[in-house]
Amino acid sequence: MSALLQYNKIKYECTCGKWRTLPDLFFCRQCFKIKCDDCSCREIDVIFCPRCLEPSSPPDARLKKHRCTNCNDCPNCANVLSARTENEKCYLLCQHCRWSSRDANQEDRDNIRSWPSKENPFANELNEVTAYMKRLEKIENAPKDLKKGKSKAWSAFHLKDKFGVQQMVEKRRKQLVPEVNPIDVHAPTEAPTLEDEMKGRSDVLRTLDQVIMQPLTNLSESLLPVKVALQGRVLVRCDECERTLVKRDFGVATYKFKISSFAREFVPDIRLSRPIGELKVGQTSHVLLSITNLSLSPLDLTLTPQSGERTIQCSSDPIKLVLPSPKSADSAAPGVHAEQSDVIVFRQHNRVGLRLDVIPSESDLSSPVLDLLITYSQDGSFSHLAASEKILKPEESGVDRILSARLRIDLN
Amino acid sequence: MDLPILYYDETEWAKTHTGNKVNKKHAIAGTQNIVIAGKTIIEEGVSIRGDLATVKIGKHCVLKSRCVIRPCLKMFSKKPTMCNVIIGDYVFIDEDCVVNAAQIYAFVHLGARAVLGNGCVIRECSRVLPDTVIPADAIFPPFSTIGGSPARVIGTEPLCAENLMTEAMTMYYDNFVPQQRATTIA
Repeated sequence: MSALLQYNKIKYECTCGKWRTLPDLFFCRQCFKIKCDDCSCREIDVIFCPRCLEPSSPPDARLKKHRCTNCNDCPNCANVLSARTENEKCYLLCQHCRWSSRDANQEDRDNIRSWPSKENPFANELNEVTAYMKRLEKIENAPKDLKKGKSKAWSAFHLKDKFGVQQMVEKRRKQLVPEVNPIDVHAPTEAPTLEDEMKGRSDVLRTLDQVIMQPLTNLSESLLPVKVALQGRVLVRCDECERTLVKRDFGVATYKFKISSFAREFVPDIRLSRPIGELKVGQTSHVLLSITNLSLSPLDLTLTPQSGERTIQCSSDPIKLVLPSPKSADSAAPGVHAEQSDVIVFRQHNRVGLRLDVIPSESDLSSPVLDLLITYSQDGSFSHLAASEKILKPEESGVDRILSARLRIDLN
Repeated sequence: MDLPILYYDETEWAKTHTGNKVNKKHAIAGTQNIVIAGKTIIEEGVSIRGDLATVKIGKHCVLKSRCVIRPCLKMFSKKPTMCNVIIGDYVFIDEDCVVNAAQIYAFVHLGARAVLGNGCVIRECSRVLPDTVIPADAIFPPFSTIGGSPARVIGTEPLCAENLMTEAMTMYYDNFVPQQRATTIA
């Protein structure tokens, strides 16, 4: 897990210039680019209730106002309300703060469904206004539709009243024109003063969370069970080629993926191998890294330390090495010291341990950051695979693209 | 960071033929009701109440020292019943956790000192932050970061959490080696 393996110390640069941890990044197999949350498109895949994990279709969810009808949350602490039965009737109880539906003066019910919630008192009026606006829209759009020739009833045919059709059309048109009854304007009411509001107030003040959960409930009224808000599950697309990067399997609560192209499976994964000792100004310190190849084909990579203004100086030369893929590495003997160089510490399956020498200066000590550039290329099997899955055109396959990734390691 | 190599004293640990490593200073009761799939590490002072109901633990799990796993109590109309606990594969339970949950699915990471209330369910690839208190009967969807007291979903986990957790737990097991063998290799 990212917490166990401390991925938060190493940030990769996304194509859009933002710095993210590798598990948070995606890789587009067509554009050959790293994508982050901000430079990818997201769309809602499934809408579901996070409590009962019941999926609902978008029109259904809209009808239910994006709330689950079966699940209720505690209005005090936003936790699950469990149903308790007594004399074949049930009530709701919060196991954390002991709030119960009896506190809200709600009678016990026969089933756990359909607990009342506070409705907007102006809901009817609002509906009337929307209906009125819709009628106005229809009248306003009528001439436009006429120009486009959408409505056949308004053709030139009605101008010559040869067979007495004109009258008939007029009659029908009158019937078709929607009725417009403007709604009465509200008489202004006097705004309540602060004193009025404070008078009827119970001793208990509500927290902001409670008010946000039930904005329509007045302070004098008791809180009702909150219906659980539905959640959306997202599908991630590349913003350039619109190809799907991540799509979950069928089923609401699944953790498996139908399509997934995480950056970890394409980009060399660099981690700190051992904790860093104390950094001293002007003295050489060692930084132990491990590089893992999780992609399908062997990686030919070059690691170049970068030096800049705000980064720590690294005295190591660029390192060139070949990392086997996890599949082919399984047959090789583990823990073989293949190259007896002082840079490579260990070689194990598809992982290589490296030692870099850094010389910190005075300004680096407060926030030491090591800047690295990796250029890597695959032996072509990756693009062959992409071609076989019809992600790339056949003529594009077989070309070894040299890709690069830049990363910063926080040495604190 | 790669997980460090941990050495253990072979005299204090028992190893089963399925690869489970159990510290002998445990407080496990009702062993006939406990099923552990394999390659699971159970550290010192861990208490598993198999005498109350069946406890199933998946493969490649780690139960750090002094955590407690006990079946949850459910009140049915006839009589109260202790329900089975099911813990999935690749689950990491940190020190001093109290797990009263009904089910913990695979690839879950429980932070240190977390308390899981009676009958709660945590779905796959979730992470519970340290010092979290999860109330009874709570249920959390996959890929949620859970924190606070009372617990809430406060974020999402990276979508490749399954791979990360598999890698971390396999590495933990591989790096958990007996003292003598480690000295002979060196």
